[in-house]
Amino acid sequence: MKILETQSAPLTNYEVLTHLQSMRKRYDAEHSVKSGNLETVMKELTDYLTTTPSPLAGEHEYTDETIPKLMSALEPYDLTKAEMLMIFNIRPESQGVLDTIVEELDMRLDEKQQEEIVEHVARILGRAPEPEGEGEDAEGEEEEMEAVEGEEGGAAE
Amino acid sequence: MFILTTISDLVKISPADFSKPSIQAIEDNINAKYANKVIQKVGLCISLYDILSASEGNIGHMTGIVNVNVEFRMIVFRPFKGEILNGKISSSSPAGIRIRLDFFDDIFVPPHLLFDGSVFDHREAVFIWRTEDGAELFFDKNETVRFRVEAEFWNDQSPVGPGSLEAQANGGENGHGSRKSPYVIEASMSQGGLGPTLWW
Repeated sequence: MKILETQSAPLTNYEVLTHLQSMRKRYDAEHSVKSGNLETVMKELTDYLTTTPSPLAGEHEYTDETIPKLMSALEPYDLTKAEMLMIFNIRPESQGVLDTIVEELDMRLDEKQQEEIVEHVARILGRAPEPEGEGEDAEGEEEEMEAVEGEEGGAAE
Repeated sequence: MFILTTISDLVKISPADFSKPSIQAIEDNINAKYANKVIQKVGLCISLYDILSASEGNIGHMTGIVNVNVEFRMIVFRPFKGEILNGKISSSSPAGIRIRLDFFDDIFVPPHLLFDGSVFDHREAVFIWRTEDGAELFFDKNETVRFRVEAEFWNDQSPVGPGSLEAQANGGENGHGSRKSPYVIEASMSQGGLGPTLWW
């Protein structure tokens, strides 16, 4: 074995999932047997990529055209390739999450630009389905949960 | 988190596989050898992506095995430093938090890479982040978390002599390194937006 090039190209999660799915289809059509190790990693990776919080879970809006579309929409913000890749894989739905992906976000982009990016992402990549009930309810629940956690902590001491 | 790696290797097709189309035999052979395995300093191989070129098959003397030189690209799991990923907490100990992805389990967050004010609760066996305003936030088991890749460690699994094997067994009994994993990722959760996803 000889490694000719360690990093020939980066792949997005969407591309990997598409490849796995087409592989599975081909194997099923030909009734050929996969080796055990391949079967394991294909199943586990497909599970990882298709459960929340992955944006590829359930019905999603990713297609082959999504990458160039997002690239051109975010071009004016001068993001690096790695940041683009993470935005595509993680689909940040708030500025808080965007802040973890983009280094020194506040220095590079102002509030309005950050909002624009999150909007572009929601428009092109879609949004996660609301967990349950209305948005307002969800917020209420969250507060409640924190309160409960506080009590638990108190009891522990 | 995934890359393509170009590899050249000698693929040996045994006579049992002659009934398959050559391309299928080569693909099966490569996947059986590489899928779900770690190559040192490269990453965790997932599957064959495409075949770039293959030589004529040469039949080996005495065995009937066909040898083909193949250049191909593999899909490899190799998150870069600074990458943000999602995973689940699989366990916590005073030494830190272990995070798993469905297909990869060796991600570790030491206490100094957690939020300031995070302490380990021995009774509950979880880390708790005590924020400045007095709230207590729990890093519960099986919680979905977002983390940043900070460093990677490679442990070569090549066979070693009996002497050093013993030393390894003794040294590996304590702590999280009971079995040395070939590829370990060190991660952090110490910035707003990181940690359990339901916080943010």
